[in-house]
Amino acid sequence: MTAERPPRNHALWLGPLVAFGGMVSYFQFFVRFPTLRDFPWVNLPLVLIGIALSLGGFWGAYVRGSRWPVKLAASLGLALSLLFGGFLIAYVFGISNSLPSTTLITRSLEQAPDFALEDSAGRVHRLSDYRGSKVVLVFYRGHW
Amino acid sequence: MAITVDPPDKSREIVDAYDLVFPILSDTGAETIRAYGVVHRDGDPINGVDIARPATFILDREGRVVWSELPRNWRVRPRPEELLSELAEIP
Repeated sequence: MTAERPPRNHALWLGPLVAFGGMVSYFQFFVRFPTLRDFPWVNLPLVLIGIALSLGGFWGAYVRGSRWPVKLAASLGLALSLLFGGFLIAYVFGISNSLPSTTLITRSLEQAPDFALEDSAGRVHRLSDYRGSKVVLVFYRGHW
Repeated sequence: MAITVDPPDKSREIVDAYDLVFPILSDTGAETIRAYGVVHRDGDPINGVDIARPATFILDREGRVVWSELPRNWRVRPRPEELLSELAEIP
C-alpha cells in the first residue's frame, strides 16, 4: 500500500559534486601535466558536465513539481555548480591572462644585466661568475 | 638558475620538495626583476607587492641574451625540450 514515489533526482547532488571535483582537481592534480594545464582538456568538460547535471536537476525539480525542499536543493546545487565551474573558467581564460605586456627593457636586452643574489642556502651567486657557461634564467611568480 | 621574489627559506622548501639541482635566487626587492623588465606590478594582490612575471632567458657563454620567452598566460610555460634544443644550438 505504499504510495508511488517519484524517481530520485540524483542530478541534484551529482551536479555540484562533479563541478567541484572538476575545479579542484585542475589545481591539485592536472596542472602537473603540461598539455592538460595549458588547456583544461579534462577539467573544462568535467565542470560543464557538472553544470549540465545541475541544470537537469533544476529542470526536473521544477517541471515535475517536486516539493519545495527539493526545489530549494536543486536551486542551491545549480548555484554551486555555476560557482565552481565559473571560477575554473574565469581563472583559466581570464585571471591567468592578466600579465603585463612585454617591456622595451626586455625586448632591447643584449647583454644580460649582472646581479648578485642569495640562493636558498644563503650562497651569493653573481651572473658574472657564470661567464664561459650557457645560462638559463627562469623568472617565476613565486609562492609568497 | 631561477629568480623569484620569495625569500631564501621559502625557496628552500621548494628546492627540498623537488630535489632541485639548480639554485633558486631570491630577489626580494625585485631589483634584478626590474633590470630585466619582467616586473609584474602588484602581481601579488594579497600583499600588494611587485613580483616577477614568468619569463625565461637563455644566455650564451658571454652573457648575451640569445633567446627569451615571455608567456601571455602564467599557466603556460616553455617545455624543457624546447629549452634543451635552444641550448644545443649555442656553441
